[in-house]
Amino acid sequence: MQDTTIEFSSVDKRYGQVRALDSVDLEVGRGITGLLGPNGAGKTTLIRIAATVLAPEGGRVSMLGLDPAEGGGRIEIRRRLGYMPQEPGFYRNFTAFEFVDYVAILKEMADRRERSEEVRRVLGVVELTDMAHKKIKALSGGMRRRLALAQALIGRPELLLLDEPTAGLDPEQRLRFRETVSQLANDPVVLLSTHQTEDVVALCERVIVLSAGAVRFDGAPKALAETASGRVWIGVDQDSRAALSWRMGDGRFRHIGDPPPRAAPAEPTIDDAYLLMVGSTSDSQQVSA
Amino acid sequence: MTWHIDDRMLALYLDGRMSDVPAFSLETHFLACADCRRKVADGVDSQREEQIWQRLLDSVGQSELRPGERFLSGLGVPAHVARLLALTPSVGLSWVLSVAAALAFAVFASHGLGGPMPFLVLAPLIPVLGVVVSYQRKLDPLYEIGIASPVGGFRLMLMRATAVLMASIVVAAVASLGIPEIRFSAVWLLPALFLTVLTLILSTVMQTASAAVVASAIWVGGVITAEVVASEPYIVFGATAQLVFAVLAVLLMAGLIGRRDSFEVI
Repeated sequence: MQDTTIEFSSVDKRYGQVRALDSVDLEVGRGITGLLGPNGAGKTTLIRIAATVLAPEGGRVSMLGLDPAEGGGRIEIRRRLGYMPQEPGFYRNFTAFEFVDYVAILKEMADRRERSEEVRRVLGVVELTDMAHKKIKALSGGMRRRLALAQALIGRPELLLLDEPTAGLDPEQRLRFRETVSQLANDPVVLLSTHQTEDVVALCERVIVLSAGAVRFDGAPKALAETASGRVWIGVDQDSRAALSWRMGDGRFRHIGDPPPRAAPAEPTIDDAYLLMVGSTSDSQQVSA
Repeated sequence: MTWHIDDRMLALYLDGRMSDVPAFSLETHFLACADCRRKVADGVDSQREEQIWQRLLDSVGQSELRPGERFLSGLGVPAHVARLLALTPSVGLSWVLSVAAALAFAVFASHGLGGPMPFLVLAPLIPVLGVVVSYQRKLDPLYEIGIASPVGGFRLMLMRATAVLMASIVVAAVASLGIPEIRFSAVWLLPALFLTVLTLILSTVMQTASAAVVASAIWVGGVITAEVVASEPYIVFGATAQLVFAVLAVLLMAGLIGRRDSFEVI
C-alpha cells in the first residue's frame, strides 16, 4: 500500500451559491485521521468525494493511486474502500445478517459460503453476533450505528471512510466504537469526520480542521492544542471581550482570547484551540454554563 | 461398566452409518466412559469433522432463501443476483401484486369501454413506474451505500430495471389474456421498452419521478394526438410505429450507456 491513499489537489465543490469546498489540498496516508469541523464545514462533502459518490467541480482527486473520475479506476477504488455515510439507511424489515449480506453482494462477494463467513466475521467485530437474526427495526440506535460500521468493514477494506460515526451515541457506545476502530485487524487507512474533539484526542494520530470549506489546520492533535498557547486564561470574572468565556464547575471563568484582567494563563486543550480556530471565522460568542 | 465400543461399532459410528437408536445409546455410554470417548476421539477423521462443523455453521449463519430468490434461481439467475433482487423491497412481491391489480383494473375498463385502449395505454407505463420505485433515491434507504459499492450505480440500476421490466412484461402478458382483441399480441412491448429507457435517460438530468412523469406525459399525449390528428388512436400500435419505437429504444440505450457516469454519483 502506498503511503498516500487520498490525495486532493485544489478540489472545489459548490451547492448553488454555497461553496462547500474551497480549493482543498490534502494528503491522507496511514493511520487514523480525524476530520474536525462544525456543521456545514464541508466534512461530509469531502468524505463523499473520497467515497466516489460525489464528483468535485474543480481540482484533482486520487484515491489509492487511482482516478475516481475514470470508470475502471472508480470501480477498483470501490472494491477497496469501506464507507459509512453520515445517515446510513436501512431496510427496516431486514435482519442484521440480511442487511450485511446484501451489502456484501454489492461488494461482489458472489460465493454464498464465503459471504456468510465474512458477514459473521464483521458482525463479530462490532459485537452484534447475538443480534444477527433480529430485525433492524428492533435494534437500538447504537446497534444500528454498529451495524452501519459492520457493512463498511466487509472485505477488510484498505481505506475506511466514516462520516460522523459517533453522532447520536451515548458515552458508553462512543467508547465501544473507539475500541472497535482502534483494534481493526488489517490496519486500514481511516478517515473519520466528527465534530467531537474527544473522538480526535482518543483515536487520531492526525487531525484536519475544516471550516467554511477550507483546511484551517493539519497536524497532530497535540499541535492543534498548542495553537491556543497564550490564548487561554482562567479568572474570577467573566470578560465580555473574550472570544469565548464560560463559567466552570468551580465557579471560575475560562477565557479564550486576549488576556482579561486578574486572570492567569492556563494549559490549552484541543477544545480551546478548536473553538478559537472555528470561532474566529464567526462573530465573538460567549458561552456560560 | 459392562461393555465397551468394539471396532465394528466404532467404524459404523464414525462413518455415520449407525442407525439412530444404537447411536443415541452409544452417546449416552460416552458420557460415562472415558476410555470409549478417547477411542472415538482418536478415530475421528479431522477433515470430516471440519466439514460437519462448516455445514452446521453455514446453516446457523445463513438466512433462509426467500420465495422470490428461489423463483429467480430457478430461472437461471445467478444465486447472488437473485438474492440481491429478491431482497430489494421495491422489486418484491408487493410490487408484482400492485402491478397485477392495476392491470386487472385496466382489463375491466377495456371491457367496459368495448376496446383494449385502457389496457394498451397503461401496460407500457407499468415498467416506468417500476423504475421509479426501484431506483428513486428517496425510496431506497441504501442508495448512498449502494453507489459506493462496485456493483452499485449503473450496474445495479440496470439489474433492477431489467428485473422490473421482466416482471412487468410477465404480469402484463398474463393480464392481456383477459382482452380477446389483443390476446397473444405484444404490441405494448416495444412502447414499454422505449418508455423505460426514455425514463432512465431523462433521470440523468432530472429526478427519477419527474422523468417518469415526463415520459408518461409523452406517451399519453402521443396516443391522444394520434386520435385527434389521425383519427386513429391505434396507429401508435401499428407496424410502422413499432419500428419507430424499436429504433428509438436502441438509440436511447446507446445514449444511456454514454451517460452511465450520471448513475455513479448521488
